[in-house]
Amino acid sequence: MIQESSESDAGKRQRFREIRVFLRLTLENSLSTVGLAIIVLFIIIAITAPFIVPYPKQAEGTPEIANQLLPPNWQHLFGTDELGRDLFSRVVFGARISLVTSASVVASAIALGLPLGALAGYYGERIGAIIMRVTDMFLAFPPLLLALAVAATLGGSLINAVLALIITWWPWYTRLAYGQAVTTRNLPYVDSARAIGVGNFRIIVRHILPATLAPILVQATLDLGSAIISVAGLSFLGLGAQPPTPDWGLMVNTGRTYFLQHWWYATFPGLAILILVLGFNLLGDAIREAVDPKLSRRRLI
Amino acid sequence: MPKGIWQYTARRAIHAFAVIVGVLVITFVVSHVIPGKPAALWVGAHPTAEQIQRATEELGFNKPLYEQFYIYVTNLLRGDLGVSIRTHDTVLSDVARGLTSTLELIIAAFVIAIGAGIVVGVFSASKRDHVPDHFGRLAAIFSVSMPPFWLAMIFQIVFSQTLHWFPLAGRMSTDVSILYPLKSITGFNLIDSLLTLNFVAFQDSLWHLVLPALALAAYPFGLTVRMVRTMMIEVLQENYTRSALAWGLPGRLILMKYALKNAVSSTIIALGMSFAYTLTGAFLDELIFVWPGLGTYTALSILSLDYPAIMGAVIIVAIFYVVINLLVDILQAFLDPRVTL
Amino acid sequence: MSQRKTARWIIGVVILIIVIAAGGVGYYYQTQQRPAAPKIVTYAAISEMVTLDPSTEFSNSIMVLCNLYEPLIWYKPWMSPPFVPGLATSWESADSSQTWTFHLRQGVKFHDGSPFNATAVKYSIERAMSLGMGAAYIWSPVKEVNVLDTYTVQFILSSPTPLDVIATASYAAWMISPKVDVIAKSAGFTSASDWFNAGHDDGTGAYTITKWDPQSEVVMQKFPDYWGGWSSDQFDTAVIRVVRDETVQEQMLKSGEIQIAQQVPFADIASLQNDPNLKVNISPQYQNLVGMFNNKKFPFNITLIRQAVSYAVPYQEIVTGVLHGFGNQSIGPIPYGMPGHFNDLPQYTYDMTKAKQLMAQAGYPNGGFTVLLTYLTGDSREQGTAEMLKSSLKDLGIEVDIRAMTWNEQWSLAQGDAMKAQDIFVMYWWPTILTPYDFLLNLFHSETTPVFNLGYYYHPEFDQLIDQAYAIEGTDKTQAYTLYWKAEKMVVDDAASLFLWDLTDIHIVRSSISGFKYNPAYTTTVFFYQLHVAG
Repeated sequence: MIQESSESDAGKRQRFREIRVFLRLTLENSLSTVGLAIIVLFIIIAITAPFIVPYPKQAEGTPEIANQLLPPNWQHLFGTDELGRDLFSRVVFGARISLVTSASVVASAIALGLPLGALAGYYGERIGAIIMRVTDMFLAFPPLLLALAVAATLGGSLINAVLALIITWWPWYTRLAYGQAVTTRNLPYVDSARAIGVGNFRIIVRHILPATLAPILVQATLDLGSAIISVAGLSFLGLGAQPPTPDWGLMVNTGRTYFLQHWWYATFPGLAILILVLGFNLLGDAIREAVDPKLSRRRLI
Repeated sequence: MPKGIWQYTARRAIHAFAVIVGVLVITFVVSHVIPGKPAALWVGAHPTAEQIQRATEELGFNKPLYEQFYIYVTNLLRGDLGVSIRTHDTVLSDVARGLTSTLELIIAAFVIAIGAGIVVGVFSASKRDHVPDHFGRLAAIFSVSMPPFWLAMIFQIVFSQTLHWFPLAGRMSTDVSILYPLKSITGFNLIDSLLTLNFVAFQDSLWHLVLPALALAAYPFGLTVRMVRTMMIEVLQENYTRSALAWGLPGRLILMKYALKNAVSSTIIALGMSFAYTLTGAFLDELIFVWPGLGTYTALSILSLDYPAIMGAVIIVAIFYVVINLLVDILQAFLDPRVTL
Repeated sequence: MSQRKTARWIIGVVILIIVIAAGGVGYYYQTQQRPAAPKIVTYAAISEMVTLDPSTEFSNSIMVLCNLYEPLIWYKPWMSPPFVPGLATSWESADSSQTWTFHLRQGVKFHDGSPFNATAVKYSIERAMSLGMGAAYIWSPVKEVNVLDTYTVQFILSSPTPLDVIATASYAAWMISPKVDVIAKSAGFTSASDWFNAGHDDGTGAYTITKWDPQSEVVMQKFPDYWGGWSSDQFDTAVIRVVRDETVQEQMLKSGEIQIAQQVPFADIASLQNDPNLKVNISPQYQNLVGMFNNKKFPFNITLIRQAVSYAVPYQEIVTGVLHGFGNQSIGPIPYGMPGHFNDLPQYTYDMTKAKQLMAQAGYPNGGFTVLLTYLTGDSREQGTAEMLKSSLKDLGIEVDIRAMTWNEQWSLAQGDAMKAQDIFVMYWWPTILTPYDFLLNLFHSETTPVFNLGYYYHPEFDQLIDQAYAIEGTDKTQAYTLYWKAEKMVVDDAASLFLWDLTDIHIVRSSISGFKYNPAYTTTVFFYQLHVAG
C-alpha cells in the first residue's frame, strides 16, 4: 500500500512534467500548429455546416437541373455538379461525413484492438499467443482486399465501408498495445504491485493502459488521415457512400466522367481530402517527434 | 549472420503459408456468399432460364459449397486456377497478363520514389532546420497526404489535357501497337521493346508509364524522404560521426558513406511496409489510367461476380503481399540486431 | 584522388549520352523503315468482347460479327419495307407463314473459298439450334430446313412465325461455312466452337479476323473476294479497341488516336459538335430505360399508387439534365424508331397535382412509406435518373432508398422472393429480334419463375394479346400491330412499370471518314465496309 501511493505520487509528478513538455514541444512546432488549425477549422465548419452553407437543401441532394455543371462563380464558389447542386455546400457537408466516419473507424478500432492487445501482452502465455496469432493473420491479409471483400459482401453503403475498415484496422492497435503492454508488464514497479497483491484489472487500467497512450495517440492521429482517404477510396469504387450523399470520395468518382471539360467537379472535393488529411498528418508527425525520445533528447537536456 | 535467422525464416514462412490458406478460405466463402447467379454471366446478356440452368450444372455451381471448395483447391495445387466466367479465358493467363502490367507500374513508381526520395531526404537532412529542410519536409508530408486517385486525375488534367506532354491513359497508343507491334517476351513493355530493338514502342510505352508511375510514387516518395531524413539526422547525432568529424575527415564524405548506408536499409524496410498502401494506390491508379493490370482485372471481376477470377486475383495479390512482408521481416532481422528473433 | 573521381564521372556521362544517342538513331531508322501505312480505321468500343462463335454469341461481339458474317436478310429501318436482301435475294411465305422459302444470292464465297449455297444455310441454322445457346431460341419454331436446290432453301415451322424478322436478327442468324468443322479439326481444335473462340471466323462478310484479343483489341483485314467488291478509298484494316472509359474515348477521338468513338460523356457532346474535325451522329437506339414496379408487393401492388408515381417523375428534366438532351421520354414500352412504337399511346407527364390526387384516392395522401430502388452500379445515367426520382418522390411523401448494385446482384434479388425484392428495378432493355413481341414478352408476359418480367406483371389477357399478335405477324402485319397497340396501351394504363426514357445513340466520327450511318438494328456496330476515306 505504502509503496503504491508513493509510486503514484512520484509517478503523477513525472507524468505532469511529461505532459507539459509534450504540449510545449507540440505547440512550439509551427507545422503542428498549422495542422491543429486545419483540423479545428474543419471541425467548426462541420458543426456549423447547415447554417453557413448557401444551399443546404442541395447539399443533401435536391437537384437544380437548370444550373448543371456551372464553373466556379460568385453564386457557386466551387461550381455545380451534374444535377446543378452547389459544390461548395456539398463539400462543406462532406466534412461532417469524413470527420464522423474516420473518427468512428479509429475509435472503434482502438476500442477493439487496445484492450485485446493489452490483455494479450499482460497475460502472455496461451491467451496472449492465441490473440496475437489471430491478429497476425489479420495483419498479413492485404488490407484493400479485406475491405473490398467485406464491403462487397455487405453491399455498398457508408456504414458498411466503416465496418470494413474497422475490421481491417483493429489489428494494428492490438499489436501496438501488445508491444507496450509487454514492456510495461516487466517494469519493476508493476512487478512489485503484483507482488503486493494488487488486482490484475487495476494494474491493467492504471499502469498498462496509460503506457500505451502515447504511441496509440500518434498512430490514431495519423490514422484519422488514412481513414479519410480509405473511406474516400471505397466510395470512389462505389462500395462506400451512395448518392446523393455528399461524400468527398463519391464526388470525386462521379466527377471523373465530367472532369475533362469541367475540372472543378473532381478537384475541390479532392482538395478538401488533401487538406484535412494534411492537417492530421502534420499534427501526428509533430506529436510523434515530441514523443520519440531519440529526436527530442537533445532538447530535453 | 545473426544467430537463429534460419529458424526465424522458417517460422515466418510457415506463418505466411498459413495466412495464404486463410485468405483462400475467407475469399472463397465471401465470394460465394454474395448473392448472384454466376452462370448467368457465362451465358450472356438475355439468357433464358434453361440456359442458365444448363450453365450452372456445366460449371459445377450447383454443387454444395464444400465440394466446390475441394475441387477448387485440388485444381489449384495442379496450377489450374479455373476459367474466368467473364472472359472465358483461363484465370492463370488473365492474371499473368495483368500481373506483369501492374508490376511494371509499381516498380517504376518505386524507382522514382526511392531515387527522388533519397536525394530530397539527404538534402533536407544536411540543411536541417533551414529553408530547404522545410521545403523537403513539406513536400514529404504533402505527398503522404495525397489521395492517390485524386492526384492521378490532377496529373491527367494538367499534364495531358492542358499541356499535352503525356498521353491520357492506356499502356500503348493504337497506331504504335499496329504499325510497330510489340512482341511480348517478359510482359514488361519497356524491357520487351528494348530486347526487340523496337525503339518506337519503347518511347511510346515509356511516355504512357510516366504519369501513372508518378501518381503512384507520391506516397512512397514522401515516406522515403521522411525516413531518410530521420535516419540521417539520427546518425549524424551519433557519437562516432562526431568523433569522425573531430578527426578531420571532410564533411561530405561522412555524409555519403556512413549516414546514407544506414538510411537506405531502413528506407527499404519502410517501403516494404508501405507496400500495402502502394498496392491499394496501384488499384485506383489503374482504374484512372485505364491501365490493363491486375487492379483493373480484379475490379472488373468483382463487379461481375466472376468467382474464379476473384479468387485467382486475390490469391496472387495475397501471395505477393505475404512474400514481400516476409522478405521485409527477414531483412529487418538481418539488419537490425535489436529485433528479437 | 579527386581527379580520378572526376574522370570517372565524365566517362559515365559520355557513355550515357552515347546510349541515348544510339537509341535516338534506332528510333529514327525504325520510323523510316516503316512500310506505307495501310488504310486503317480504329473504333473505340466501351465494353470488352468475350466469345466469337456466331451461332452462340449473344453479347458484345456483335460489333465484330456484323463485319465478318452476313445474314439472309438485313434490317434497315430507314427503308420501306425495312427488309433488305442480304444473302437471300427474295423470299416468300405460305400456309399462313408456316412455310418460308428463301432464294439465295449467287456468286458469294466464304472466307475459306467455298461457295455459299442452300446447304450452308441449312448447316448454319441447324448448328445454332443444336448448340442451343445464346439467341438460338429464336429458331425454336423451325421444324425442318430443306434444301430444295443449290440456291433455294425452305423452312417448315411448327407454328406461324414471322421468319423474315427472325432472319434479320443480329444474333444466331449468321451464315457460316459448313467446312468449319473440318477446318477446326485440322487446325487441332476439338470443336468448331473452340476454333471460333480462339479468334477465327468463316463467314461471307467483307472482313476477316486477324487479331483477337477480346479484352483489348480486335483487328480485321479486308476479304478481297467479297461479293460486294472493293473501291480504293475503302479501309483495308479495321481495328476495334476496347476503351472502357468514356472520358478517355473522348480524349482519344479528339487527338485522332481513334477515328470513331462509341460513347463519350453526354455533357461534352455540345462542345464536340462545334469541332470541325468531328462529326456527331445522332440516331435512335432501340433501347430504353424502364423502372419495373414490384407489382406483387406493397405499395406498388396498388394500381393507383403506381399511376401516381408515374405522374411524379420529372421526365423532361431528366432528359435535359441527366441525358443532356440526348434522349426522349418514352412513349410506351417500345423505344422510338422501333417497329411497334406508337406515338399516339397515352403518356404520363410530370404533374404533381394529379399525382397527389391519385395518392389521396389510394388512401395515402401523405405517402408515408419507404421503397427500395436498385440500379446498375457505375452507370452515371441510371444514377442521375435514380437521384432525380428520389428527390421528386419526396414531394409525395415517399422515401426512396436508392442503391447501386451489380447486375447480377440486382437480378438475383428480383428473382428471389418477390416480397423481399426491390420495389423499383431500373434496367435497360433492347431487342434480340425486331418485333415489339421481344419487349412485351420478356418484360410483361406472365412467368412461372421470374426471368426478365421483374415487375411480376401477370395478366392473362395481356399474354393472349401478344401471343396472338406474334402468331399472325408473319402474314397479317397490320392486324398484328393493332393487337400490339392494344397490349401496349394496357401496360401503360396499368402503369405496369415506369417508362422512363429511350436512348439516343451518339457515335462520333472524325471528318476524315465518310459513309457512317448507324443502324439501330445492329446495336453498337460500325459497318466498316461502308466507310470511305473522305475526299
